[in-house]
Amino acid sequence: MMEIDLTVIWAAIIAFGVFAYVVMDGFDLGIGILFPTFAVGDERDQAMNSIAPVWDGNETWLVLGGGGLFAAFPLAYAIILPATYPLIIAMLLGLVFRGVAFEFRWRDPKHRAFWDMAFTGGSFVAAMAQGMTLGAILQGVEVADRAYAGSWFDWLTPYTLLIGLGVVAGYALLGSTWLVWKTEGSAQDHAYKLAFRAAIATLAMLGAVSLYTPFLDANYFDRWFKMPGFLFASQVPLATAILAFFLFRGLAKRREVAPFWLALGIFLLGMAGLGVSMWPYVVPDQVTIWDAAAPYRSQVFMLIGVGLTMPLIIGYTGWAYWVFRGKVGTDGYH
Amino acid sequence: MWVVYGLLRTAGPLRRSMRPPGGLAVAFVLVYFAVFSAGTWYSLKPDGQAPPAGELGAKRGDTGPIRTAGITPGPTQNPGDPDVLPTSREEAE
Repeated sequence: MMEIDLTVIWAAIIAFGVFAYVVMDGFDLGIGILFPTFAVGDERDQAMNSIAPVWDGNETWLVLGGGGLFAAFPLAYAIILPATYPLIIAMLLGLVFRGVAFEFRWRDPKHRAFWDMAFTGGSFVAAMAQGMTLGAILQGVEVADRAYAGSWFDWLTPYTLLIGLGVVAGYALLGSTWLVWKTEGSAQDHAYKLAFRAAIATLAMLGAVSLYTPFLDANYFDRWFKMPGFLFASQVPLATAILAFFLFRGLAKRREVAPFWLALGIFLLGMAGLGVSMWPYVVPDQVTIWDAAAPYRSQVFMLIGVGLTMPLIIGYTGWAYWVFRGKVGTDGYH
Repeated sequence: MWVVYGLLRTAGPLRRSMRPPGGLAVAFVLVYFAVFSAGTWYSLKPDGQAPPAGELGAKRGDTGPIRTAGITPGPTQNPGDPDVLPTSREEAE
């Protein structure tokens, strides 16, 4: 029997958790980012009600990603978090504000504007912080003695800001295509316009980051441009271009469902590109997944736990989306 | 003070770079106080307002006890009128 490497399985589980989080919380953070461009009243109510039943479930995956990293790759957790604490804390506080906005904005008409702002501000900060965290990891983390050895503001560079804005644009694309699917009338017309612009912004940022990264570090350059890896790696931007073509065509033809799934596909390819740049490192050029992995017995123990909970999470998530399928209308459960 | 009993003291895992995040955690305290205060205020505000005009309490003839009246619904459904409390289900209907 072939030996199964639990470290690789755990890396796959966490990659899946992060991807599930990015696309699911991605579209509801995106709606928060775009929220002020919708008219007060029907349009905003539709936009918010389209995610009200699912957004908190979406954030489950953040817990799985963070908790899983701590449990399965404790060394990576111990290095990456001290390097990015201000970003992580900003993200969590942003999520607090946008989370309560779902409940509080309906309570008092005089306070609605404030909580709408909290919804947008929180969403933007969370998206930006997530992108910058990714940037901070990709640009390299200073490690000495199995611990973070960098300084307090290493995460703040032009590169991390670029990725932060890229994630904001990408989430706006996911959010606007989701609204194209779930809303009607003037809100949908507006969502089509936003989706078109967000698609351009996302592809521009994706291109900028893809060109910047290989020149950040010679290792990245070799991974992308050296034969024979180039043959495989070059498929990622090619496939992205094809999906982008269908995305623009779908928007032009006013297709309702396809644009969201195409945007999702572009995110999946972005994730694949990330895999090309990082594998098998978890902290680039410093710590591989095997260096960071928890002891074998811990991996087995937690795998049983994940084996029980993950199907449950996928099941209830799928059910929630099924129950709330179709156009959202203006009457939410609030 | 042990973090892992018999193996690791609190002074062991604490590093210099950990201090500023410790300070930032105060932000959670502040934000939670602000958000929970707002929530409490939104919950209590309706209690201070009179019921909307035209909204009456439950009255005799309503079928079945209103659930919010608790396990002794009589005084709530027929306030100040103990004699007319229904004694049986048929009488109530």
